[in-house]
Amino acid sequence: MAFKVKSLIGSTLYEQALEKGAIACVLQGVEVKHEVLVKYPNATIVLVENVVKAMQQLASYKRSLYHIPVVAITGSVGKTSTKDMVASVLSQKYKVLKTQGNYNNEIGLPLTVLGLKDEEAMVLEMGMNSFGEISILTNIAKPDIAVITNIGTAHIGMLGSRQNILKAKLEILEGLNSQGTIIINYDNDLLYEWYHQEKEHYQVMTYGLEDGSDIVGKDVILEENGSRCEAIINGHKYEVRIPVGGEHFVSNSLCALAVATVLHIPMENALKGIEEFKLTQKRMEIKKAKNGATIVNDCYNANYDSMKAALDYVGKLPNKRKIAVLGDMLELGEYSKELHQRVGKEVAKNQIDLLICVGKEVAYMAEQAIEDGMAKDTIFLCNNNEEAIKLLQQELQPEDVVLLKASNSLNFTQICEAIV
Amino acid sequence: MEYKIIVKDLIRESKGKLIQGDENLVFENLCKDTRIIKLGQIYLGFQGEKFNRKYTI
Repeated sequence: MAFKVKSLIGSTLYEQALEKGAIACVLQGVEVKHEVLVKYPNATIVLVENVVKAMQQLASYKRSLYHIPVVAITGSVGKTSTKDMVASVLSQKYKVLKTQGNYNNEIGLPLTVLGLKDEEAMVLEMGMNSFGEISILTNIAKPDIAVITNIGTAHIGMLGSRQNILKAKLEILEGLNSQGTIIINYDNDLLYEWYHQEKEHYQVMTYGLEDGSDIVGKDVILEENGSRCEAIINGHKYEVRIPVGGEHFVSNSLCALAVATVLHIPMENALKGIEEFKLTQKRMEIKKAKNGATIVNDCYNANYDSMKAALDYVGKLPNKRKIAVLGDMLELGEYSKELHQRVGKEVAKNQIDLLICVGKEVAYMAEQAIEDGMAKDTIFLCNNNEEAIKLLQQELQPEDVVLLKASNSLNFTQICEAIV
Repeated sequence: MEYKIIVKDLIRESKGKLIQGDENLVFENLCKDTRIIKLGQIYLGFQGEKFNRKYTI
């Protein structure tokens, strides 16, 4: 998720900023009024050609002053939770600065770097929606470790194909330290292929649940509030306890262990970092409804891969009834119908008892779920969140589990807040 | 160890121009939103259509 602009005319708002006590302004494309300079004689005013570029240039300079390990993380899904888990592991050894909120783009990343104080390591998330964006970010961050969590289908409408998404994500290598390591998810088909074509040219470490990777996860046990697995690293076995449910978090923990291995963080400390990991709100957050039902609030964002992971997780829970409240996945372009249908297949496969759909594209999801065997009378199409709330209030039983998931702009937080 | 950035660094790196004020001012406490800016912060006047988008991946 990236920066959402509230104003396109930031540089004309400097008077408001000064009125509220700003001590300096960095502006572009404006002629600062003489009366403003007279009114605020102590204010520092700098004009630059482009404020975004200026922040990027300044962040590059600041980065060059620090000789600290930098981990950059990108991928179609799992960036934020992996970033949080890696930061938790690194914090066992270092004072860590990590990306906050949605500061993963061409504005947020430079501002994060400019926020460096006395931290001893940095973990940066990198998002993008077109070619060239990761290139800019990685050339500011100059990472020592570059992580690609996954090449999926999120926002495929903008890049045209998964191969193009891979290509765009691989731009992360442009800024990678010449002695740096790239860490990839070996379970991902495109990253697996890339590894076998390119492994001679880079220092690569792999992680995954499939045999053959450097860090392998085995014997995964998924529970409502956490997961366990055995990690095999250099022939040694370690018990990993992850305080969040869902197989994808097991994968994230293996990635964090890979980063720890590269940075020579003792494994016992790394495992403690994983146990202490705290999830960003609205991502697989477990809550209790007013009537005691379990709510899995994962409404921060949605794409096919994260929908599948969330449905897999809910499908394996022991609750009496499983309810999925799913909304549209946005920015999928010509792939929208197909990917919503594929989610419909996952709904049926995971034996969801009640499917509540909100939006327009979700109709494809519902049709496919019916085609794959789900009873028509267990599927509801809602026009808006209010209808879904009303339905949930009528249907929800204490033993139920409810998954809430949609693209962020559908504001499923509203549904969550109404039932908890 | 902490390295402080000052306005002079900004001007040098971005080839910017100081219209008024102190080039030795420490460049910290940045804010890009006039609705929430607080006393003592530095305002960044981002602009441009390029940023009118919702999501990245």
